[in-house]
Amino acid sequence: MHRRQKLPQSGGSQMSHRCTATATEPHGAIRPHSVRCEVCVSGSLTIVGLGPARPEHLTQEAVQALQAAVADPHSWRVYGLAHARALAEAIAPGLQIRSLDYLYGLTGVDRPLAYADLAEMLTRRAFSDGHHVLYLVAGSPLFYNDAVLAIRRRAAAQEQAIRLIHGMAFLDLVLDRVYWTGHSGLALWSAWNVAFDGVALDVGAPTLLVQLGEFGSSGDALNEDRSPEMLGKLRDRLRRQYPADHPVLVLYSSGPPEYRSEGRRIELSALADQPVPVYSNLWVPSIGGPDLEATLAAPSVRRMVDPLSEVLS
Amino acid sequence: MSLRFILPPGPFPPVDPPEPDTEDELSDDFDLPEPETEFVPAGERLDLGAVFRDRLYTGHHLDGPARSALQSRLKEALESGDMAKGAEVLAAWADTWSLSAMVDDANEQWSTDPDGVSLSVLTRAAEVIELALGWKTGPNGPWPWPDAAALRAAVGAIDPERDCVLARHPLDGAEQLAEALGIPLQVGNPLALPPHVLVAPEELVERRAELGAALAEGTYTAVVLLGEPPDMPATALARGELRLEGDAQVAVDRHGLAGLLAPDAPAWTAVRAPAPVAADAPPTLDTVLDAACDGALVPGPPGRIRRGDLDTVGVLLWVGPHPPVWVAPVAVHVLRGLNGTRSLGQLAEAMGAPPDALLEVATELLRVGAAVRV
Ligand SMILES: C[S@@+](CC[C@H](N)C(=O)[O-])C[C@H]1O[C@@H](n2cnc3c(N)ncnc32)[C@H](O)[C@@H]1O
Repeated sequence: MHRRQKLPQSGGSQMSHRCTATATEPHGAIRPHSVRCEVCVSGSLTIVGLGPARPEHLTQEAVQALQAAVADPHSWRVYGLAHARALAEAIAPGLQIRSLDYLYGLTGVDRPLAYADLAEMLTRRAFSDGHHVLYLVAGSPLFYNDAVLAIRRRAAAQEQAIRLIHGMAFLDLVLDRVYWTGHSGLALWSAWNVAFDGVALDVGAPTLLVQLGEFGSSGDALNEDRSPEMLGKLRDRLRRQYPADHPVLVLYSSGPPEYRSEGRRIELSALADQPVPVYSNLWVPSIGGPDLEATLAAPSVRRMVDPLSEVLS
Repeated sequence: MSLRFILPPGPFPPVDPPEPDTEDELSDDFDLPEPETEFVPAGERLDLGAVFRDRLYTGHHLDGPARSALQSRLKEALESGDMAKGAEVLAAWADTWSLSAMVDDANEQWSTDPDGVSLSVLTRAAEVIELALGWKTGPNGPWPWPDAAALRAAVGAIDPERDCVLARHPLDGAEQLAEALGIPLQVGNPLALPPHVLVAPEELVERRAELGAALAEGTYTAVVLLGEPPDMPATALARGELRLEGDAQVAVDRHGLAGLLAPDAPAWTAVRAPAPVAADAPPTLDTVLDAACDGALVPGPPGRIRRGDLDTVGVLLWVGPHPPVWVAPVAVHVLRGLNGTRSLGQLAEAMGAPPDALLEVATELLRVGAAVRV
């Protein structure tokens, strides 16, 4: 069992001792805090963004964090939800990851409560119990992740620093199928806000609506069956600002293992005509904006093309 | 007059003490520290756990008396309109087939070298036995507690001067047994179990942080709740954290203290697998098949019975580690007609069935491993 040094909690705030050890060694190898710091009261909390889809989206920093944890399992406690676990296992086979999936299946516990509880639990594990915690999340930790937001706020309130390993966000995959010029900006909203919270869009800028078709404000998207319910509401709200034949692009992923960026262009009036897959988004071009921004872009090729073999064939 | 120490039938089917070491083994163990000296009271021992384990957790009991008792209980439940009970009893009845093939090995394994699979099999057997005998669950885990008559029969004549109950864990039911038998209680050596802590259910939420920390630190492998905590979100979240951090918590929640000995016990549904199937060409009217399992007609699969919808269905039942398969009644009729000698064409004629339809059913039976080619 990994032994942690603990100081008596009395006499001074948690900040009275500032650990000067850095969590990253030269050459980028990540070591748990306590390996260097013999007097530090607290453990550490590292949020690791693992990218939105395929293992090759992970940053080197994230890969190193996973490899450090698998090499020294007694020093780290690793936690994650389903998709993040699958990605991490692909990079670091044998890594013991504690599954947080149970938070989605507790009676009487909605998503906001589950995320708040998760934040309380992980900050406690790190800063009160003194463990070195890795919290694995899919995509970028900073885009639409309520648990990460709650962890950051809690840690700040406790004057504790967390380590954040950035990850590629889903936006990169999604923007693959549009030609966004950037000339009139870009608005980012949850489709839920528009459909149910009465948020009006700026029709002069293109908008990306995430969490399309999800039927709970906090990302309840286990299957696509219930998506038309929200799509109908969203269509009606958008119709107050956009004409029925306004082109919109439904942007989604083909899912594992390829996660190709898929898209279809439809008229706004047809938005609720068929369900959308889990993890869908809606691109709403601006009114009067460039046609290019209302066009479905050709898919990019994933394979590396070897120019020589292309010529030979 | 020598004393008789009666061990209660809890908190789970006992693990037999190891056989005395042989001289060879002793010399192998030469470098190991001396085992701690235990207080073992002198006198005769009656381990009720072992008595009921070896009497009830057997293939013979499950495919004989337990199955017949469940049949009567199913009838009673359906006649009284208790559909939830009916569904539960039918599922238990159907499981007596696979259990009858698995329980003796599980019993042997658990008694000598406990592991997760044997625990899962014994736990399912415990649920089935409890329904069959109409006993109540004991003080911890899913283990049925014998009724007064069964206890007295197992103990035989009682002599309060000579007999006493030996308590080895607060949850082994010793007090309950001493009271039921009207004999004194004596505290014996505690059961050797991995570190755990007993917690009153109403304390769970307020002690959550402390318990979570102790589990994460490895001070305990599980928290054993002394009852059901109040049903509220804070309880569900606290239990979630215990399961997240305690190495044996999931197993203990499912199997009681026995889970401490087999933290990796799989779910019962993961213990059985579909029957093996031979990859052959589709049968023709010349093919001769034999049945590889039993078939029965019952008032519906459990899910439908629970909804109050009673209609005859067939069920294919293996005396092996395979789950039952619910089928149309005709499949059971065909299965019963397979005898390993006549061809499917002859069977179609004997049953007065259209040959194509019979071939379709036979193909299905082969596909689920219920029939084999001869
Ligand atoms: C709760 S947000 C989390 C985003 C995550 N933090 C990230 O940066 O990728 C989930 C939403 O992101 C979008 N999303 C996530 N993964 C995606 C993917 N592989 N392809 C397309 N959209 C995706 C969907 O709109 C989904 O409803």
